[in-house]
Amino acid sequence: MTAYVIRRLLWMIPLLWAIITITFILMHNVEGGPFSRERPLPPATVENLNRRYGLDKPVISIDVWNSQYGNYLINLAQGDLGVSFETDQPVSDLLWKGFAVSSQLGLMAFIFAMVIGITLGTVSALNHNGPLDYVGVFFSTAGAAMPNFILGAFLIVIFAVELGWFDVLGWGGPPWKEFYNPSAWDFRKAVLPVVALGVLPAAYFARITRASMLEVLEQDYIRTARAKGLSEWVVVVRHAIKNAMVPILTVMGPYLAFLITGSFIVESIFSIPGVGRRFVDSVVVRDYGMIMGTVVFFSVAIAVVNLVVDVLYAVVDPRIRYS
Amino acid sequence: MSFLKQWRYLLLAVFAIVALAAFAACGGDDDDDGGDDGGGTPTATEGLSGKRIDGGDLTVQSVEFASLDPHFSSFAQDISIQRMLWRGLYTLDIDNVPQPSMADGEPKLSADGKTVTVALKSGLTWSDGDDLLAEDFVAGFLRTCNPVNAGEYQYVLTNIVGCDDYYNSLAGPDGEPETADDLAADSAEVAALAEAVGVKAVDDLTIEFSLNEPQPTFPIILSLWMTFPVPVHLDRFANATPAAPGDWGTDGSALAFNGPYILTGYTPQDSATLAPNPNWAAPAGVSPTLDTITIKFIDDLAQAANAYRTGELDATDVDLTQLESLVTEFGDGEEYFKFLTPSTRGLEMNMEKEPLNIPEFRLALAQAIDREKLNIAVVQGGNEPTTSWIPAVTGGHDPTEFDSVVGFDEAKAVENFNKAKQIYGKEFPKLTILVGDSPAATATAEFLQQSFKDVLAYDVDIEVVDSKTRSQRFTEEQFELFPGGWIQDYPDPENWILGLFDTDGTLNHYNCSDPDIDALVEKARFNTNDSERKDQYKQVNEIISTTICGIAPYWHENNHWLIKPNVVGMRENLAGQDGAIAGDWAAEAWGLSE
Repeated sequence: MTAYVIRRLLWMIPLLWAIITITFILMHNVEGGPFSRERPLPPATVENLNRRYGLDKPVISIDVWNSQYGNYLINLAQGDLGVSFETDQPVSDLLWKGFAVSSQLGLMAFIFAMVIGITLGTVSALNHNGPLDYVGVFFSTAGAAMPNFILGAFLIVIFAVELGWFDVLGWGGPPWKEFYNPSAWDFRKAVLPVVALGVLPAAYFARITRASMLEVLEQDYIRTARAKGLSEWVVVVRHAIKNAMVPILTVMGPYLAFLITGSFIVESIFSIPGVGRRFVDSVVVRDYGMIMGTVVFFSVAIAVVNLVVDVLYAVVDPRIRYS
Repeated sequence: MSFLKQWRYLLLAVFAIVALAAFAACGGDDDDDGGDDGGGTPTATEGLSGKRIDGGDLTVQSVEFASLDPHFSSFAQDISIQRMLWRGLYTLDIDNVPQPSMADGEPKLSADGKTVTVALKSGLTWSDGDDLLAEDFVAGFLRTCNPVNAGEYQYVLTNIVGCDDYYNSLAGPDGEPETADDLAADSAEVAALAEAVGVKAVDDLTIEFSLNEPQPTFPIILSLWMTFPVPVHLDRFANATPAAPGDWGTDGSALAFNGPYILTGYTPQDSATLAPNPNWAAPAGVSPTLDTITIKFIDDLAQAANAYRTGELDATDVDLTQLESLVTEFGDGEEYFKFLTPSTRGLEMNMEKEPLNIPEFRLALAQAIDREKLNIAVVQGGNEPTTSWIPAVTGGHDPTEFDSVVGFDEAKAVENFNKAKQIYGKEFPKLTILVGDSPAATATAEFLQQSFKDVLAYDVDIEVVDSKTRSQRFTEEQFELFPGGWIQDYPDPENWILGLFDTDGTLNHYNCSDPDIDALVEKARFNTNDSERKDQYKQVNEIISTTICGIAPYWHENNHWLIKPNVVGMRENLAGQDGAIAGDWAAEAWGLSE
């Protein structure tokens, strides 16, 4: 297992290099630059700005270490993600601040989705073709059908503007060190974004759980367990749910990575200072430093989460062994 | 909120979910993966609902600043917060007249008008208690002229001796980028150019400026953000060199302030918090009464309107797509206010592209635009239709002054179009309107397209691109028709003309070239007879507007605000100088009432 993890981590290096190179080339070939302004800047100013941000060198050249691309790789190897052209602040600072918020929001949405999705899916499967099954299927269909920008706007109008139960702006999570302290949370700000972000994965988890549970409940070992006289609770919790978890884990991993790395739409709708907004905004304003920083960050985050999920497979299913 | 009303919304929610589920079902089985005491000083009157209170927290919406460095910035939201934190030698009052701020009285001019001496008030201090001296202001000018800092508004200081030479120095003596003679920022030559910049501290309280030419607008320039002082007592600025001017940063605890407020907090993408500066000099006698100001960074104005409704915001900019409903909801003059901004939008025409080089053709296009209808169709009547380039408030003409010449007139438009056809001698090519991807921009382009089709039976294409692509194409003059415009940097007509309409102007990307304009600009540029100078620029405005030299103006823009009734000092100080927040040119007057 250790060798497998090390091998996977080493594979991340060429993967990251390929992603960086492709992004770098694409980014510099998109029309419009970071200093293209509604009111054009005088040529001398553009020249000085290019020099300030290292854009006075060729993008890529034979003399690779004297090019923007080469400089970026050298700096990245030293852990320097550069400076945001739009805010003039270190990219790493902005990413960490944004990630601290996005990861908290994403984690809460993930927990919400897991609890609601797995519970509903399990209840549906155990009541196959019964009224509770229809409720579960209805939720999973409705949740999957509603884009979160509509759901978010809908939640704001009803629960914030009309009913006044929640706030419209910002994220109510505390600093990470106080994550487990309920009194540190501002639930007026935290609930709606979590629901807006969590409903879609909850619906998806409910569908997968239901399908997986239905399949597992038909297996011989479940019949055997019941024949042995085990209580239904033990059959479901100890034998059915655990074995039904493998396909659920398969979708949970990418979803966790997706949720904790920020959602542009939910973060924008609720004005949450997360990393998802950063990424989309940086593309719009051609903030080369931030584009590269977020791509590197997302790539590493997704690769690491996928690795963790692969390791978890082996934990959940002892039949899976990596060499 | 009654129980029944709550249930009504819950039922509405359930209904919407059912409707969406039904819609999804129909769509198949998708997995969805995926001045000291002048009449123009800021007023700080009582609110609509009672007397001003001492204290309170005000929360306002703005767009996030890109930089706090006043010697680098170019965005309105940057300038807005910078004016709250720092002030220059002078400040413009509500009538746009420069009044002493940190300066002790008016500037003194030499006999030839090329040397300007400004005395500082004595006893001024930074927010951290250190003395505010002439050297702090000198450092501010040098920072703006410094090519390494790359200040985006250096061009405003072009008349200060040596500022251009210093700013352009890294391109070397030939002035061309990337050549062998390029100077290094840490070279002795660059240091000498920095030394030669015509701003000197004569003593702790006296600053002397050397100008290339006498400049009537110089006191206005001395009120602008790029002239704000640098706290040179802080280590990183004390040790600044041309090659390393010192990082301004965004950490309020590592900066010092001489404006009415200090920065106490900043969370990127979320908010900035300000508190009163205990050492604020209060040049107009107005000091902050608030405990804190929180500036929430919100780009989406529909969301800001919701936050205003829930009470999370005390003031916000208005989403023009919701203008009518918001005016109805909040009442014109009650919580909704508007103020004419010194900005003009119009259809810009690249005069190097045929047939836009034919005056009759440009005139025909201008006369085919019904500006009243355009204003209603695109921004719900939120702007002021005009045919004048420079707004009257900045020394231009009345918005309707040239209506009879270039205003909407179908018959004249067709007549000029036919004349242009005869001159051109063949079928006109199909031109393209290059437009940004915002809903208002595309709606404008579609309106113009339909107008030309209906009035002139002339088809144009629309190309929608994102804002950066649009800006680059404009700068590179790769456009034919281009809805664009200008927002003034400082309240003088020269800011609407210089560089924009003179033949060799660096911002003249529509290639307007008129010998009469050039001759008038040459006369006006350093004319020390102020009324004559302004009249010369007014004549230029008439030529631009009536010959459509590069642009057919269609409206001056308004700022639209929602302000809570208990907010004071904001609606009273609405002015064209406002940056990004209502009355932000005099934020020291903001407060709350009972």
